[in-house]
Amino acid sequence: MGGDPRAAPCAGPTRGRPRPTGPATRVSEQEPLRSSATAVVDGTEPLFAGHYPGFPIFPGVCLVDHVHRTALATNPEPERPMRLREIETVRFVGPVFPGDALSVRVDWTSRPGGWGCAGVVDSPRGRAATVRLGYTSEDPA
Amino acid sequence: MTTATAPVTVGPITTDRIRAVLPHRHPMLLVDRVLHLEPGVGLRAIKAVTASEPWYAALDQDPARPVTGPDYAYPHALLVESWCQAAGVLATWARPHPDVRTGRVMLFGAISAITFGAPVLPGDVLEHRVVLDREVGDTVIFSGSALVDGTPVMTVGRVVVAFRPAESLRVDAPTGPPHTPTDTERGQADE
Repeated sequence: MGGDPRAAPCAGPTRGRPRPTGPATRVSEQEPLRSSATAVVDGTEPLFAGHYPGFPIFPGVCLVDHVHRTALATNPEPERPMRLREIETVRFVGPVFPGDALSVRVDWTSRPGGWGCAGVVDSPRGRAATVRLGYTSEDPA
Repeated sequence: MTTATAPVTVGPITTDRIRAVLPHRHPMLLVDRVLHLEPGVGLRAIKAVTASEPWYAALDQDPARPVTGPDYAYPHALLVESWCQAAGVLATWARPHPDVRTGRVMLFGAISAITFGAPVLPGDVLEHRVVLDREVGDTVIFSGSALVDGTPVMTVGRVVVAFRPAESLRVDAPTGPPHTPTDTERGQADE
């Protein structure tokens, strides 16, 4: 299960959190600033008891949450906390099941007052979701 | 020529009837009561947020880190899930599907323009307002908002739901113990 310890304490739909592979990095000038994370869907997550009885499926909103957690854990400006302002678009493409190993990728776009995140979540069967999120960066306290 | 008739409204709808149209169960049944439902038009529903929900369990298990108010914010993902379930009650009122393994299942295909306001905290009672914007074949489009004490905490630009054969979820899917429908579910499905 595991997850990034910095993201662990706040409330979330899953106990397991995506584990970032490192800080947000830019491979080259032409490439976007990018973050990546991995996660394994733990079949003992409490939510599977009710989603759904006899047919466990990882809720699509948890894929949105995985992108969100990945973004929070790899905030390019860690001194400025980010607040989720908008779920801009989400497309749920394929189902995710207990035991699936997921990869999460986030491409960052700097915006006035914050960041845009274009995220994708892939399962062993291919693309599971595409997620675009908008964040407001808050000034340090 | 059509004759204008008063819309048929339903409400309040309590947990047993909600469980008869939605397949979600504890701890993922995130609609507590439907206050008012107008089939094909809209719905108002409530969900009470409590600190005893499993999403808060981890906050009690990390003595090394003090828990602050913002840590208790209800997760955005579950706020959206709860609203979508309310939309699901409206979408499935005329075609209940309390067991996802049979018949035509409701799948959320796309979401756009969901904005968030103040955090939702334990003790808050969410009021979901759902409007059915369009229904084309097996696809239904919703919009609306969620409020706490009359103040919007989330606005929903567009949520697209599609009804698909249950087999569409079965690709490489694991199997679990069979779900036995309750008498209430059987009764609803037969209506």
